[in-house]
Amino acid sequence: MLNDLGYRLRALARRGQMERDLEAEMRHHAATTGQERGLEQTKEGCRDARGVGGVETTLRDVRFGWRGLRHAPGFALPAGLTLALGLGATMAIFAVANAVLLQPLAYPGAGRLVLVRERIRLLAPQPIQVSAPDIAALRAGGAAFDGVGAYTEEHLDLAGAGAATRVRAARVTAELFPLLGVRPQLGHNFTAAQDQPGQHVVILSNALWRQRLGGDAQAVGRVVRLEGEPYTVAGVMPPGFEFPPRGLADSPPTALWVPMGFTPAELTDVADNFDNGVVARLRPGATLAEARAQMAVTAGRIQQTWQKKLGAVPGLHLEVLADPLRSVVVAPSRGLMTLLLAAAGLLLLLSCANVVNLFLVRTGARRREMALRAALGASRGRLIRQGVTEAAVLALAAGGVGLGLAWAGLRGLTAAAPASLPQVRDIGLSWGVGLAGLGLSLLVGLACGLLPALLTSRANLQNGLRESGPRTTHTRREARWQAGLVVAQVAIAFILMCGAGLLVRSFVRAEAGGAGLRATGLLAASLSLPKTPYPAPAQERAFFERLEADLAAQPGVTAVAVASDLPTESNWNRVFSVEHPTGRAPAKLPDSTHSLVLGDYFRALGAPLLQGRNFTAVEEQGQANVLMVSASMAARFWPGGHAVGQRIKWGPSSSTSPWLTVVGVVGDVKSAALDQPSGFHTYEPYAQVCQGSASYSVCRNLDVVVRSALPLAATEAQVRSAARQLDPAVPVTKLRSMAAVLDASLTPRRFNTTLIATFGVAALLLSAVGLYGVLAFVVSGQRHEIGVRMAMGARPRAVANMVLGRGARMAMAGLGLGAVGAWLLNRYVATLLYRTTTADAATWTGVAALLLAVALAACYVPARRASRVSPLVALRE
Amino acid sequence: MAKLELPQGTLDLLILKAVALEARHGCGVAERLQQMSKSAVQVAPGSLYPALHRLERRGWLRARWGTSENNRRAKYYELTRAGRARLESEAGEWRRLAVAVADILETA
Repeated sequence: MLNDLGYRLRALARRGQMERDLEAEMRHHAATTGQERGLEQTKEGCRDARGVGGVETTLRDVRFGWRGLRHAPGFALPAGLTLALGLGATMAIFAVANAVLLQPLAYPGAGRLVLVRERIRLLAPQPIQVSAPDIAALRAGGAAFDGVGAYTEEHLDLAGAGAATRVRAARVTAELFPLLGVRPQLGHNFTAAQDQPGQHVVILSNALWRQRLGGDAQAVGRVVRLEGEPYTVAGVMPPGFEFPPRGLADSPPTALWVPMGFTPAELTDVADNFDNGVVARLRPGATLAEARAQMAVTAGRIQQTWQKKLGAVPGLHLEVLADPLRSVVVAPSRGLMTLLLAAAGLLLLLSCANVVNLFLVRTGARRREMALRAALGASRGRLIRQGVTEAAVLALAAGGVGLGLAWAGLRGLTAAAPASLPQVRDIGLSWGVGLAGLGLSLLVGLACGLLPALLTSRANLQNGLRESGPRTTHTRREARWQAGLVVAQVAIAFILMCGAGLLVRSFVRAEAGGAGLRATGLLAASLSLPKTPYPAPAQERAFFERLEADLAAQPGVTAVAVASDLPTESNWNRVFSVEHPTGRAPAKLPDSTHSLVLGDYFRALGAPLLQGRNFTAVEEQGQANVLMVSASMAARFWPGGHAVGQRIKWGPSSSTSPWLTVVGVVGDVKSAALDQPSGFHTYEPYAQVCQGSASYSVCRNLDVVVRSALPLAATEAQVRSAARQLDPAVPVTKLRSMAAVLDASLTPRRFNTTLIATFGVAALLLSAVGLYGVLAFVVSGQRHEIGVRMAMGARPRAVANMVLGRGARMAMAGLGLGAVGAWLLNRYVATLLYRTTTADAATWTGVAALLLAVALAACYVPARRASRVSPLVALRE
Repeated sequence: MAKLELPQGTLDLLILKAVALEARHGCGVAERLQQMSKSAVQVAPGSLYPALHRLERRGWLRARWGTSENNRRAKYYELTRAGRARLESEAGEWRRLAVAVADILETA
């Protein structure tokens, strides 16, 4: 056996020598016996006996196929490019899906990391983060956990050599990084002693370290200023480390980490501030089910501590959920990835259909060659094998080009990807993805080669040889396949274009729908006050009121106001109770996005006042317990314009917070994103929340909106100089036109829509090429027949119409089939649509009309060529 | 004696036997088989050479280049140790089979 294998390997490695030896042996035989007949067959038999015939034949077929393709660029180029397009798209999308869905999170042993969340169905159906006092209970009750760590996301001011900038930061408990299994590249993780209130130490991300400290190897121990106070660098994280991971973080990537250092106040504020992310690692051997069971027990214990403070709240039930970290991170992207993979798969299928058709056209032209080779003794299997090999060679070459396309496409893709896409940094052409892509190319090649090879090798020998001249026709079976493949292409193109059309329409509607405000001439500036000169809301408010007054006095400025967040960027949700609810009590308390405002915010935005009035100067002082609500909230709770004078309060109606009276109703302004429905929104005067000594983050980080008749650049300069004159230490962290703010809220949708639309256009072009190719082939095959018709008096127009009609029939059949397919598949895009239904008539008719128009244009050239056939052809050929 | 159709697999055994005493080239093997069988076995080159190559691949024959009687370069095949063992076991089986077949045919 070993000898056998060794022989085969030697035979393969020394093919040339073996071949020469065989030749010599045969010469000797001929010389000795004087017989030369049949020696070629004998040689072939010996080659087979060597046991490497298969490999040798394949190598010969590969060489033959490559030569054949090079000599037929008119076939190889379109076929190769078509395949490269399909394969490239598939590889690029696979690379994205691989990074997003399949790769583990970039922490050692990430599979055992668990995200712990709480859920109170009475307040909100979706899980929420954890209240600080509960973390100790989770730690005590989680015997299945090896460690429990917590984090909260923050924005902090980092002062360096230049102006202060606002950076994304996170507070983390000392357990968190060891539990993730990461160590700083320089320095060390936070110690338990550092995880205390007032400890001024910081761990920097690798990017921030390079950018702000110039990659200083002695960075540990250096001092940076955060929030105006000195912080000592404790460590620098390795490159690529991100926490919280994308998909979980509000705004990745995080630039630095400070110790959590829970204050005694935070640790006693039971059942409030649900803003701690909690990550745990499963102990070796422990299962998720055990952890979940323990968390259920723990939840009961936590709820008992709540009751001491809240009393008995009817219907209140706390759940503690433990889910694999990865599944939570990936969940929001799963639908999109499935959709993109499906779209790429359809495009690949379409390009395969196109290539099979091109092969069929080509085999029509090579029928004589095939028949000749069959006559010379090539077996059917041999011919099939060679055809398939040729297709595989083509597909592998196309796969190589496709890899290049995917590489180029991925660069654009990652740049345009929304920051919330998980693992976006890992997207790329790894060896694994490249090999999988080439493997796929090979498979596609084998599949595409098999059908034409099977069909051709069946062809009747005699007919093949009898055909004279370069005339090419098909058997009926081949013609049926060709038409079927064209129909399939048009159908796939219709499905892809229909999906793309619906998404484009959603995008246009989201963009055109606006945010309920006049964005032109509106500038938004984000400012954040450091703690030191502004210890309490009184000073903070004074700063913003002075800034507002200064800006209002600038030339061109028509309105200025301050708010805790901008339209489409609200992230403050509050649960409320209505004093006199109408109808049945809802299963859960309603919630609204919430903003604090200072000054005439609605006039500045250009949002209409629908009922009542604005806050008065007295109410702005913060003692009046008033609020304004959005139109949809008023319509839901107090229909018929009776909102003014009604009251709500935060939390359940049993809570101790005061009743707030509605003084006005404003038009709906988008709170989440342009492509999200406007929900309930509430507005309170700034001072009603920010007063006394409680300086919340929301009181110090505000957005100033300025409406001006001057160009944006001029307004920008005015804002900068006004802020600088008031206090040079206050950073203007962002300065954007409102149009840009609204536009940014569409980034994820733009990403989806652009990708699917690209696929749709590619599908349209490919199916047009397919239609053209087949008709052109049919016309060239029927020249003789057409010539006869012309000679018999057929008019050119009638001939052209005949060809056009044939193309139109195929296109219509494709449209019909595609409509059925789209009807079945469109529900997968339904979740991505905005104010558009999957049955959107305009999209369906528009796509059908466009596809038909392109199809007819593709038919036009062959039809015209047919009408120009000279009657003389009938005589000559 | 008329030409015989060789049963499947027999040729390999006969070739091994033909080179059992001395190394032979392809034509030599054919001649030797013809001579030993009194012309009953005549092997066509289309069967002979592939069989020689197959036996070489299996490691039962070893080939070397030498000069033939008519002063030409020729490929000589000889038995390897494994080939000799193979010849003995195959020949034994063949004899037992032949006896068994004969017994059956001669049973009245």
